[in-house]
Parts: sequence; C-alpha cells; structure tokens
Amino acid sequence: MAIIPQDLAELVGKPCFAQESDGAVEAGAIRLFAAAVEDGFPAYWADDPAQALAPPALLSAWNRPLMWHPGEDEAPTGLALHFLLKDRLGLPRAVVTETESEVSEPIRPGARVRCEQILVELGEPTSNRLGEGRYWTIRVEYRCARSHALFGAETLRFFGYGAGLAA
Amino acid sequence: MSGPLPELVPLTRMVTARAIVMGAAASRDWQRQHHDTAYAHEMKLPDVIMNTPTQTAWFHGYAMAWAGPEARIARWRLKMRRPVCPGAEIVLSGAIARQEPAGPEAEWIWLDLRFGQGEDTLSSMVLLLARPTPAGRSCWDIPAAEWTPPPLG
Repeated sequence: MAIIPQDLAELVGKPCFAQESDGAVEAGAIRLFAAAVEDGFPAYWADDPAQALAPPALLSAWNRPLMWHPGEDEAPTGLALHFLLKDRLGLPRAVVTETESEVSEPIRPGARVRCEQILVELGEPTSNRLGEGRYWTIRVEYRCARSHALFGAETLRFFGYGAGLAA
Repeated sequence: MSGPLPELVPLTRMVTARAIVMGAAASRDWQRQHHDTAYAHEMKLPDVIMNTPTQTAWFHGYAMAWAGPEARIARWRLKMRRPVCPGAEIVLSGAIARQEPAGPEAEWIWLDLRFGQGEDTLSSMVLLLARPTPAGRSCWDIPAAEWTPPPLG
C-alpha cells in the first residue's frame, strides 16, 4: 500500500496555485495590523505612501482572499495547496508548527502580490499530542505582480490530524 | 563595527482574546481556532490561539524596538511549541547569537528570541537582521542587488 498517495507525491517540487492578491497593499491595512500588535515602527504609520512599509509579518496576508465576495457562494481559501492536502488525506484539522521566512524587496502601499505554492515534503503517518496525522511542508513565494521582484518567501510546516472528525 | 550592543531587556505582555482576534483579523486569517473558543476546544486546544503573523509581529516588534528603525529584518524561523492563549503573561526575551560585518556600513545580527511563560517556552524565533554601523546609512536604503542576507544557520 502506498504510504504517500501517488498523485500527491507528484506535486512535490512543482509550483502550483498561482494567485494574485485581490487588492493592492494599502496603508490602512498596515496600520490596522500595527495597531493590533501594538507596534509603533514609524514606517507602519507613515502618511506618505513612499515612506510606508508593510510589516514583514504580513508577507502572507495579502494573498489571503476576502472571506466573502458579492455573487459568490463559496469563500475561496488562501493556501489552496494546504487545503487540498487536508481534503485529500482526510485530515480536517491542521496547525502550523514551524515557519521559516525571508524578505527581500520591501512591500509598499499600491503593490499587488502574486504568489505560488510548492509542496516541499509530505510525511508518512505519525502521531503527537494532538493525535494521529501527518506533517507536510509548503513553500510560498511572493513577488510583485508587476515587476516580478521577489518580496519574500515562507516555508510552513503543518501537522494535519483529526481523521474522522468534522472540519 | 558598531561596538558592543546593549542587551535585549525582557518585556512582559499580557495575551488577551482581543489581541488574538484583532491580530488574526488584521492579517486576514479567518481560521476559526483564532476566534471561536468552542471550535478551538474541538481541536483539542485550550482556547483560541494566537496566529502565526501575530506571533511573528510580536517578536519583530520586540527586536526592532531594540535594533532601531534603520535596522531591517532579513530572515526568521519561528517554532511554536505550545498554544499562546488568552490570559497568558508572556515574557519576551532574547540574546545576540552572532554578529558579522555586512559590508562597510552595516552588520548582520542573529538573535535568539523567546516567548516565555514561567519556565515554559511557548514559542521561539531565530531572527536575522541588518543594523547600520554608527556611520552607516539606513539598511532600508540598501539596493536590491546588494541585499544578500546570509543563511539563518
């Protein structure tokens, strides 16, 4: 019996689910996050868009789709590869256990962000204090949609679990 | 080189449900474990949990308040060992793990950072940032072609 399903094994190393942010990076969103985390870094509060910077911690946020759009019944999911793995493996619950990130070009208001997802690794069944499940690792690269300059990349390690439970 | 750097002073922060929910919403993270306690319990979690961008931002804010606004974050590795839930009194702490010149005007600094609750480490981060030397320009002015951070190690 294949421990890792063949169709998922074939995804390893292949960029997929290219997606562009559904809006431009904007100063209000930067300020809202800076207020939420109580960070007074001056560039997060700058009135001049040329001086404003998005927090590196928001690298992934711009490509999380809005949870509702007029005329659409189903909310799209941001990290589509992750949700594909959860569905395909029958593991409705998942938590992030480790992330590694790098940032290159600063992200400023007005930019649109394009990302691609790559399955780095899919582990064999294992168990931890959350129960039985699997670890998997996904790398996401974020680029300027216009210039293709690299904004940054993050590698996320998940543990999926909860087979037999509702999502 | 810029000479001896000051130590990072521990900082205590209370984790509230509002901080968790606001951080998740402001990072467009609608996953229910960040705002729905009953769902978090179904996930075998003790309560709603602080999401990755919020934890990352707490670490970054702590490090950048120490390093100054001319410093620039390059890389980080975040390990989340225990859920960060409302009611936790977190002590952010850290230490310089390594320093290296980054050209004539800046240096690379590796920090080991920690979210502590009592004796427990809830999360930890290895963070690499560039910091200007006293005579150096802001690290935000480093052109893309010259921005070549070394590995985290």
